[in-house]
Amino acid sequence: MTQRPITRLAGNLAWTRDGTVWATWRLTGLKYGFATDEVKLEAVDAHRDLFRSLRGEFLLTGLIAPEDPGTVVERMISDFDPGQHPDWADECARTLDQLVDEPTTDRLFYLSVPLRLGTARERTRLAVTAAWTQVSDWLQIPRAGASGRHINEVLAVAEDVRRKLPHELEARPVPVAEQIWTAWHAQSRGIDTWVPSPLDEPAATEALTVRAGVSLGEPVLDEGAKTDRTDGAGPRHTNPADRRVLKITTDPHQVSYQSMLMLADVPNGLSTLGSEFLGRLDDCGYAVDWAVRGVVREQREVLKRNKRAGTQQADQADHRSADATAHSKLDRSADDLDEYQAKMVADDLEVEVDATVILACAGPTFEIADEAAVEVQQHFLSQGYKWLRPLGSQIKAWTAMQPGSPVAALVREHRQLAPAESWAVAVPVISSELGDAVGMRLGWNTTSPRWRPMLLDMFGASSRDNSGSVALAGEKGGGKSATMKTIAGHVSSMGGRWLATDGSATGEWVEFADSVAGSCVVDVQEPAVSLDPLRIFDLDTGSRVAQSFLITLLNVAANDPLGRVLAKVLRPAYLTKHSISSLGDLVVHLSSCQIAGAGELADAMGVYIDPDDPRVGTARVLFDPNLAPLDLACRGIVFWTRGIHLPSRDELGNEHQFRTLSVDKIFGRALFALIARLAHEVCFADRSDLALFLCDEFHRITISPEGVRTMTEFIRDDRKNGAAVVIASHDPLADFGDETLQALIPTRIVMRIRDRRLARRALDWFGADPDDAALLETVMKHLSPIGENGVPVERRGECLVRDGSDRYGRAKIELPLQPVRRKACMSTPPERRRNHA
Amino acid sequence: MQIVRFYTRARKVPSLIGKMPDGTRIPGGPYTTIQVIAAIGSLALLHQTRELWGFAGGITNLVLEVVIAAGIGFVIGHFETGIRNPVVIALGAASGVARPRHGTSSGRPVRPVPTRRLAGRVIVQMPGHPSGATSQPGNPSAAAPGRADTRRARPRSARAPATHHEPPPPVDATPPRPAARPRTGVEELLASISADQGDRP
Repeated sequence: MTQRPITRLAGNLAWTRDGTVWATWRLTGLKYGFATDEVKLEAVDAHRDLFRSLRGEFLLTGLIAPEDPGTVVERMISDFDPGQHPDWADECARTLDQLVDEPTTDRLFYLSVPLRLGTARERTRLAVTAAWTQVSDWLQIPRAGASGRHINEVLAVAEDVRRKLPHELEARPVPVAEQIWTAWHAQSRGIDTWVPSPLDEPAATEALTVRAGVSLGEPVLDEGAKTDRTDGAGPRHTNPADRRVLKITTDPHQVSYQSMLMLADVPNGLSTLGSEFLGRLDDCGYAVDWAVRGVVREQREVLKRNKRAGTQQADQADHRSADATAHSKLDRSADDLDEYQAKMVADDLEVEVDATVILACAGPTFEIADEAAVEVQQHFLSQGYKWLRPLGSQIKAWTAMQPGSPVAALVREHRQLAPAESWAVAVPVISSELGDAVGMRLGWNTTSPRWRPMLLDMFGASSRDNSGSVALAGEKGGGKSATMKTIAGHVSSMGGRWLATDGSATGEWVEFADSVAGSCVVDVQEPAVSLDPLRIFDLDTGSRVAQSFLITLLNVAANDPLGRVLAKVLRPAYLTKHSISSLGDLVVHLSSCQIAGAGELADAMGVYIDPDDPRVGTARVLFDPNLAPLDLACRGIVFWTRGIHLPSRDELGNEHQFRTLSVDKIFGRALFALIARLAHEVCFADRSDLALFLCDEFHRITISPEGVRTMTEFIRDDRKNGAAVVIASHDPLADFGDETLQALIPTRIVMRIRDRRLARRALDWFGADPDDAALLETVMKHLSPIGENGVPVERRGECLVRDGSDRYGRAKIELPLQPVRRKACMSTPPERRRNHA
Repeated sequence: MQIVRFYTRARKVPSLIGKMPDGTRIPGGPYTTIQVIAAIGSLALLHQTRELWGFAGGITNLVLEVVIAAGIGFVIGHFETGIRNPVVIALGAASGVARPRHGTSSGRPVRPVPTRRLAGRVIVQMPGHPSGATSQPGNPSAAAPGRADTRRARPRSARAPATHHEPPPPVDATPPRPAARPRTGVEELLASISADQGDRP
């Protein structure tokens, strides 16, 4: 009977039978994934510092924890009353169903170390307590608890250790419940565990916290799964070499098969980036737990040991003189030792880490666990890493993965030895977190092969001060518009409203608007409703918006004589006095009034509209009084701007070309500035009403300084006003306005761009290294690649994401799960269908 | 980008024996320590037990002893353990090798390790409750609600009573059933779905 080493738990402490006290902390994974080299190197440095902050024995583990679908959905719906938002409740319910069908997991990191207690008295007391525990167990006497003072003393020692850990890792003491969870997790790996995960805090923590008398489980450890034969569970190999699996039976329904691998060899020479053999463990395709169990030695001790090894080598040189192979191996060892010695001498802070790396592959059956172990071995073999599961190692390795346990000689024999600097390149404690903590489920975070839900919190009053808006870059057909519609669909389901511009001839957003109750379309070419600001807004807002629109349209400066006339006639009092209630009225009034310059203004406006017959002219959507004014209460508004022309940047940059601009282009430019302004007014009207403005081909708005100014104002204060924008373009660097405007939107998404030059520019804007060949290749060829029949369904929506917390990763957009919304998002207008199908 | 290395091989030099203590070379050397131990050990054993197996004259027996011992040493030399101590590896493997009645593999007896039970009670103490051992075990009020009810379709293993050869189920650490608690969004969501279940296809 193997005795469990832990006898007592309090806080993050565990007392063991041999009289030591172990402390455990949970560590936070560092940003890595698709981050820039600079960020990655920071993570490597933090790992180096982690090892350097330790002394003596340690255990570092990375455990796969099941994510409760309920917890995920809880984060989506926390701010909503399901009764009031039935659509959102439906979306959340479907998400819950999906997550139950495809459960997701997270990786949790723990650091455990035995504490070195200061005084001889404390150490003696621990030894006596440990001995007494043994005796009282043997005599079946109830165990006595330790005194609160003693616990506090030990906690203080643990806190000293924690303070020395690198701050980036945000080590925090685990509660007792989490210690119990790790113990249960160890015996239920690979099976659908009912143990609540510590991710479900605080409920799980509380649920597992019992005041006294707790069992960590009394599993039957069966190395080689021999009981499978006696249980008649099927024929098993009789050769122990074929049964390197540990069967753990917790109760008749809880049988976990695990196969432990130990690292036996690493490639000779690892590059600082790209050798993340633990950080990228998930790439093997299996959910594998890892543990690093070993000791950290100080420089002085290392130099002593190196010296001894040198003496041994010299002695061996004599013994091996007859064998050339053995001798050359020795030469290499000697060179390595010199190099190592030099490294240790060069840096006083450097420490040696001598540790066994253990992987636990698991499954509900012998075959699954065994196959996983073989596959993981194969996966690493091609990269030069050798993993072994020596005969008789399974229970020993399994035990070594748990804090407080003794380490068997066989496990110690597999220790790998290197300075902290070398271990750091394995970057074990990294995370691929992406997206926000709460909000709509935009898709899957596919940074690691273990997909996880990715949430987007556009409106949340989160602690972050930055904007909740989203910027997208991607080529036509790359998935931009489906992503935008997905977001708009979710906002509708959440009870919010949206406004979108649609420049397509086919009217893709017009089709989408059909799926949203209470939506309307403003067709600029053949208008049925009017956008006249004097008619759709109240007097104050209307006059302000009309002034800014006319200044852009007529290309006058606010301070010019004509600008001053405009200001005068658009004063609310003036408008009321002269009963001007529309732009059409204004033109008529100007052509007849006595103010100097009024006639000139009327003439300038006459270019766009015939005052006598407002049904004629480019600007009908604004000047025709016969049209019904747009109802701003619509929950979805599409500005269908087909056929509207815009000047190019060259035309605007050159004064001569500017003066010769066609009427259409001048109107187009002013119209988009007006749309931006209108969206701003609508979205900011009611703080409690979520409102979204979506604009593809964002250059249409940034082509005018007025548009840039409006959007900058918008994005600066969006979150505070329950508003957000989603902008998109194929060339964000050129189209997303000035640097200020670009910098204001932290959440960025890059979808497929096959053109190398544009892909480079997109990466530059994204914040990544545009010269990173692998990343460039990803954007050009590996995001939703086009197959023979278009983009296969399972590859749609792939993108790179930079989230609001400046983390980089890969994701896959998931369309809304409600059938109506899903269909509306997928609708591809006929023209595009021909091109890409 | 920097290149870093592991130095396991630099420090763990397998100790080979190529020369006698007096400095004379051993022919065919160097040999691993375990090879030498095995060869000398088997030679000694054979020599001591030659009464039992010896069938020829003293010289022939001696030759046989040496040949067999050398053979053993030769075979052991072929077990590659790299930089790892072969004794430790062998002892570790021994714990996984079975007794003969379970058959043999590669001509060696197989001795299965008996199944073991990892047992032991643990006392939990919260810093604020120094006399944890005396407090009420399984206090129901400590049982905060789990999220069990949010996992709608997830199968939950029935906690069957223990059979005679199985360990008793760990009662105390079993997550308690949810108790009354303010309803969460998801709970409300589920309630609202079950209310209008018929509406959804």
